[in-house]
Amino acid sequence: MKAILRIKRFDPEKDRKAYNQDYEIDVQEGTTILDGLIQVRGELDGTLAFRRSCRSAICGSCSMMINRMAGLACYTQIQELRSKVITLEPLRGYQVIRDLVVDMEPFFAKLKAVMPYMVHKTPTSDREVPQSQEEHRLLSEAITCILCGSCSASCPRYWHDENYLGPAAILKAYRFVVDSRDEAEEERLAIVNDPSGVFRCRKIFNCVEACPKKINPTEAITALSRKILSNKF
Amino acid sequence: MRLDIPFTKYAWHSGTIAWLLHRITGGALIFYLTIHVWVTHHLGKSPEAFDQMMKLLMHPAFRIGEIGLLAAIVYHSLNGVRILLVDLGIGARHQEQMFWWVIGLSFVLCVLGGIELFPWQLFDNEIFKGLIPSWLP
Repeated sequence: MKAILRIKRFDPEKDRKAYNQDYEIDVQEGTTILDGLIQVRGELDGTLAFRRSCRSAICGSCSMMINRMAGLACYTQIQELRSKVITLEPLRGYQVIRDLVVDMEPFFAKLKAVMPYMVHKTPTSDREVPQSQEEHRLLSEAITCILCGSCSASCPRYWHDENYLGPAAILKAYRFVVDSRDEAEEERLAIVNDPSGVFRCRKIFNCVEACPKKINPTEAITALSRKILSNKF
Repeated sequence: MRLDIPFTKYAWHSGTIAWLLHRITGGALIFYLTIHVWVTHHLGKSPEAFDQMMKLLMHPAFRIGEIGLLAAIVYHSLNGVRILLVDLGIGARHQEQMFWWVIGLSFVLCVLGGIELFPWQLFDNEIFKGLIPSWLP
């Protein structure tokens, strides 16, 4: 079976505007978008640029717009899409570096802003800090995030407001706020209580649809806003 | 100039439609409220002004417009409840089902209210005689 990948190309050194280019590829059962892209680069056009690393949906490098929806190229099978022509574009809301490669720096800067690390102030013995299964269950979903950036790239608020933290960063803040071992809840809540924080979410649920790991960032965002409000009143 | 319309470059989901409809009906309701204030202002001027305004408002075009107003109010308030449930942490996992409930309930309420509000006298002539069931208002 054949399929056509319609890829948005842009090389800042040569092109003034982005343009679409079609590539016909062979598809078998189980062929992913990433397999198709590797086929294109290997056999049809060596100039195509895209990021990829693990090919098994755990590194989060190959996120892109697949048929106008953010997702992982290695986690989307071509036959599943049921379309003859598949449009591939760079992630929305990020600066394009070349072809399907975008500048993820602002995304990671926002992630760093919410202190994505464990803060443990009280001195403990040199043993580990234990956690019960119930305590762990609160964060068991949030820790599966692979930071691919699909959720933020799907968020209309994120496209139009460059300061908005975005679902990924807020989910990371949530992951530490609900962690029983973490002791920086107040600082983190103050960060996401910013004018560009949790209260800017418009509940469009694009992030939930886009997440390849089936996480629900909107639930995390509302949980944090409830925490902020219950601390205030 | 290039118009960057959001949502033409991104796939639509139930949440997108819910949000867009919420925005549109919200804007429409603000527009209605300004008209409403203007109308109320004129109603209080004098008995003649009251009669004149009421005559204008009973025009079939306004009656049909009222069905649109009902639709906007019903959808906006029901979707408001949906967003409230999401914010309370109950509905974040069921937003899609809740969206279809909102659409279904809005539709039923609009049909029921629409039957009541529709200016049936439009059909009160020779051409439509016998076609309108007697139980309609």
